[in-house]
Amino acid sequence: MSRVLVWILIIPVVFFIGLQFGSIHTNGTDIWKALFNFSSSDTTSYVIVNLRIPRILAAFLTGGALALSGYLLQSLVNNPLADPYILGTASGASLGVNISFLGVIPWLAESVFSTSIAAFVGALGVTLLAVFVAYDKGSINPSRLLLAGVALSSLMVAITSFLIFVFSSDNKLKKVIFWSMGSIDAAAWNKIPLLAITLFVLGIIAVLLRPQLSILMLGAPRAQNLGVNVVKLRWLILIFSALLTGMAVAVSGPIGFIGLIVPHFVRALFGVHGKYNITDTILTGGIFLTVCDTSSKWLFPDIALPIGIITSFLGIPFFVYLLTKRNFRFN
Amino acid sequence: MMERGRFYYLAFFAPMLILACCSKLPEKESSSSLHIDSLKTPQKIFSLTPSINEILYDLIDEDRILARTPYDSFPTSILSKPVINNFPPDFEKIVSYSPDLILAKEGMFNKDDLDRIKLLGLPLIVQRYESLVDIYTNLQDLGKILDCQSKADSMVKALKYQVQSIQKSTINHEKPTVLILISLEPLYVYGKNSFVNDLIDVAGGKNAMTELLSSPYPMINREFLLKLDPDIIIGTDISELIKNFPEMNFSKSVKNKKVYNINTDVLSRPGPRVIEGIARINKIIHAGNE
Repeated sequence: MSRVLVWILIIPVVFFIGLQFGSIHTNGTDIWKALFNFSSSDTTSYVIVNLRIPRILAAFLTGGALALSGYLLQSLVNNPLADPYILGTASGASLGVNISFLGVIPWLAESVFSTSIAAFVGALGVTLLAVFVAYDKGSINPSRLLLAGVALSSLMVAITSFLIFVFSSDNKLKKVIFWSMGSIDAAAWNKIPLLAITLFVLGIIAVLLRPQLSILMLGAPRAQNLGVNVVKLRWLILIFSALLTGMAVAVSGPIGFIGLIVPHFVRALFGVHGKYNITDTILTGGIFLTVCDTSSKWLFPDIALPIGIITSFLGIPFFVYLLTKRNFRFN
Repeated sequence: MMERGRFYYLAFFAPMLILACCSKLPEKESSSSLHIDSLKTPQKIFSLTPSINEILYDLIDEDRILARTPYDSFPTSILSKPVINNFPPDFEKIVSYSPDLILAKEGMFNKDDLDRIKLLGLPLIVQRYESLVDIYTNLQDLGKILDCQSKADSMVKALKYQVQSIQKSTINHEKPTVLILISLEPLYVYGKNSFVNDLIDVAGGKNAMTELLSSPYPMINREFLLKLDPDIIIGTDISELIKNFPEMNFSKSVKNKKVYNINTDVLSRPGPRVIEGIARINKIIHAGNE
């Protein structure tokens, strides 16, 4: 129960602090007015409700989705280095988005949704390809999956670089590079619902599957013996991960380290087989990215700093600290 | 025995140390320190920078220009010249054309690339184009180097005259704030310490970017754009602006329909064509005043 209390306290505080920061000066009264006395003709209220709130929501949902995706993948391949990038999922999403940006396929008109769709198709496509390569005697071989993912990820990056080289003009190149570093600045209300629903639904299913995920980490034969349908579980994990990563990348671009670090952080704090690991992972990931976004608005007020930079600066020292703690365990 | 052996292996590192010392490159020379007089009048010229080519076309006979970069677009007769890549510089091709002068704009290329050109024995002059005054100075320098001083002097005189007459026409008018975008997505603008800042000033406006940010071409976030709230925005269509940033419906520029899309080549290329850029900005500002 105390756990629920902690989350109920922390999340609104983080959100509220996040709302304070932005180029336009706002104070508590402005925020109160915007939330409870909204008038669509007031610029400040508009900014708070239509720019800042979607941005915080996008950060929270993206962080949660990437963290959950990382947690699932780490359980699947039983390897602490797994993250949404390692299976080529994020690189596939990037390739999809770049194909859309660079106009490689002319009739793929660029609209708000086509980027999301392209990201999702790319993510799912590459993940399925990795699975296809890793399929071994009727089930997915985790080691092969990892290797296939690494290889495909490199391939996606190479193809993307080639396309950039051939198809880019000065303007498109900037757009491509900027997107590749992740950005929450372009968050808008229309991008939120799909990601929110995906995270909510898949999150609940993941919570229900959490015991089986823990058992899976004991190794496939033992898990099978303990009644877990290993084949089905592995498929579910992969599809969930692709969905979550694809959606997240479509909204905010590729953001590194969250999928890798947050699951370890949660395990270090709450135990490898903690009962509430799934929700803790989602919420921690969400808060982490929101804090990163708020920090970037605080430290670099007028510039649109790509958020991937901040997650690295904040996340890596923390991660290194975790690694040096004596009780760091994965299995 | 161990004692002696320990120092013998250091001898292997000696050749590496010697090589490391020899590879120190000559320092970058600014355009002022290069011995302009010691050059014979160059007849085969190649410019790594499109804007300098535009100047050359006005100064000298186009036969003296060897080749162009893939990004050269003006004047149209330059398109018939052979192409040499400048990003990255195609060193071999440059050498094969054996130019006797290479020109480049400061800040456009890596120091390493420029040093390599010099190491290949090619005469390189790098010019800084950060303000309107730089254009006048550089024009005159080129006049001296290319032995067309009278032409260069008359160009500078004409430019100064045109600039001054535009400035005079704006004296008693109010100066609106102007923001010029380099690109909308991502949002890059011409900052306070950029060359375009001068152009806006001459044309009768004030650069909306009043804060000095770390780069002359910063990328800003959308709230800051709304906060700046310039009177005039140049560099995009009003429909594109609203599509990407609906909050700009609250801004002066959108409400007064003062968002203009013009060809920013004439702004971003520091050369005689800047007067066109200045004239266009001036026209936009005046359209508001009427």
